[in-house]
Amino acid sequence: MPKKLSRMSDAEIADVARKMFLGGLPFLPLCWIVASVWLFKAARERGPRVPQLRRYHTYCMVGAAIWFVISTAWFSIFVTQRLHWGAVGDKLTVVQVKGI
Amino acid sequence: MTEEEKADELRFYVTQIYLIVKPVLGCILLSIFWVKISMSSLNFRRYTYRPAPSATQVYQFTDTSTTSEKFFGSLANAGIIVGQIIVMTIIIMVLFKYGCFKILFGFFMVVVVLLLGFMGYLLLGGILQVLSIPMDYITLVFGLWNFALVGLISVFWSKGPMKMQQAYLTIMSSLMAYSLTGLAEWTTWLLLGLLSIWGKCWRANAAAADQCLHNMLVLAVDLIAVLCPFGPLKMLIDSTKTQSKNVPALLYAVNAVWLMAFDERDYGGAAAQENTQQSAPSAYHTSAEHIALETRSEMRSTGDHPPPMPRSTSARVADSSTAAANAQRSAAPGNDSADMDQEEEEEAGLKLGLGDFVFYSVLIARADADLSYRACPLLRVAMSDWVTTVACTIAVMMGLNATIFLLAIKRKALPALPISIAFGILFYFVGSIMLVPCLEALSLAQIAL
Repeated sequence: MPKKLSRMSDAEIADVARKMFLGGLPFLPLCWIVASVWLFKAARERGPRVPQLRRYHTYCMVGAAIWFVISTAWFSIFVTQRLHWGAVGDKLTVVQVKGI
Repeated sequence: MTEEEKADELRFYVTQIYLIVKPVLGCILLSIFWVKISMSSLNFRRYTYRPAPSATQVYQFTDTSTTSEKFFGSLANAGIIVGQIIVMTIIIMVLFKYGCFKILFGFFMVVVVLLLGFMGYLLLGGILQVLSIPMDYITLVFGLWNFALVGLISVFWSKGPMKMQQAYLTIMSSLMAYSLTGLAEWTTWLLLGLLSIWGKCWRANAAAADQCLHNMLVLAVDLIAVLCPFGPLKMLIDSTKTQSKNVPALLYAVNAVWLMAFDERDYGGAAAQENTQQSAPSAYHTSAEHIALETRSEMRSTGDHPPPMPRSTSARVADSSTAAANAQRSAAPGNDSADMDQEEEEEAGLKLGLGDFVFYSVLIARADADLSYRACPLLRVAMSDWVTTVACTIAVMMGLNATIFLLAIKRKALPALPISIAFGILFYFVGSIMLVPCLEALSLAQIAL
């Protein structure tokens, strides 16, 4: 069962942070988002003692932010431009929206 | 037991009930939400009035079919499901017997990913349609990939955040319930009825010692084993006894959910109890079929690290050896760092099998789906198909509470389904046959009660 974060040892929590960062690499920003929120407090408190934890936590936050920018940019481009793309835009759309 | 101890225990139950009701209610509400979405999306409305026709449903009902046809047809449909369940149980039993735990876990993982991914896709399609959101396939695939994979990680990884795990298990149960609403009405009712009866039979037949193992097995195959307490499952229990191994299982505890090969240190989990500093005299283990009892020692107060406990102490559910182990544990002095692995075991709490979640939700989602197309058009404007839904929900929650209350009195393993399902079915029919027509008449006459 999942352990409470406050009960993990320093080495363990660093390992968890590392694993969550690595786990987020294959296009899984959600994993990074979870890690950034979940480990936030621990990283602030234990950061000075456990540099690895702070490092991976920063990576996770940066990665999540990058993905957020990418996906927001893509989706806004899609929503505003899909009508100009013609057939390609229609093919990309999951459910054809009526009206517009 | 003194009066004070009794009072303590009741207080403990009240906390526990609150903690267990939250996820169950969440699961039920999610299922209702899925049904509503799929009912209101155009695809479903145009081609079928059922939320999601199930592939396992062989006998199709038509408007012209007679009652006996319907009855035997749904018997056949229910029989098919039960047959699948039996086959699955046998396969799992064989895998378990020969120690293929990797295959078992792989199987569970595939199931989780498929459930989250495929049902997520179906329902997301419904939401997109209802809300007219332009969505591209790239974003959709990316989102589903994230949703399913993170779900897989948080369910199976033992170190992930607990909140995520609980959330995902609730979602999974609601998705499972939703996928079962695709069965025809009669089939669902027969299935639910049979289920609660079977629960009782099994309860009567099983020796007390078998039950904790049975719990795990039932959970191990989640929906599958719920329906098939005899035959292969019995053998499975026997083989667990002889091999002293445990089965991977899905459990929603009040504070934690497991999916792992059980060993005794995995038991317990009321992390939230930690701060309340109250005594937790007993922890109960409810499975898809039973609520078992495990005696627990007093909770330790905050900041007090639990001492290590030898893993060999085979303190299992529903027997007194746990108490002994606990006594031994509380006697030992606190140890700061070496006990990281064992500390969870001090924690206690109610545990509810995911099967229960699913079946509570199926009942309500089913009632919801039926009424949405059956309720009279005049009333549907007034949202009065909610009347039965809400009545059913309250009935099911009442059944759950009653079960937990009985648990406090009898201090024995109890099946979690029968009372709830009986109440739920009763209130469904009362609601749909009596309450809705009554409201209809009242609203026509403009009478407000």
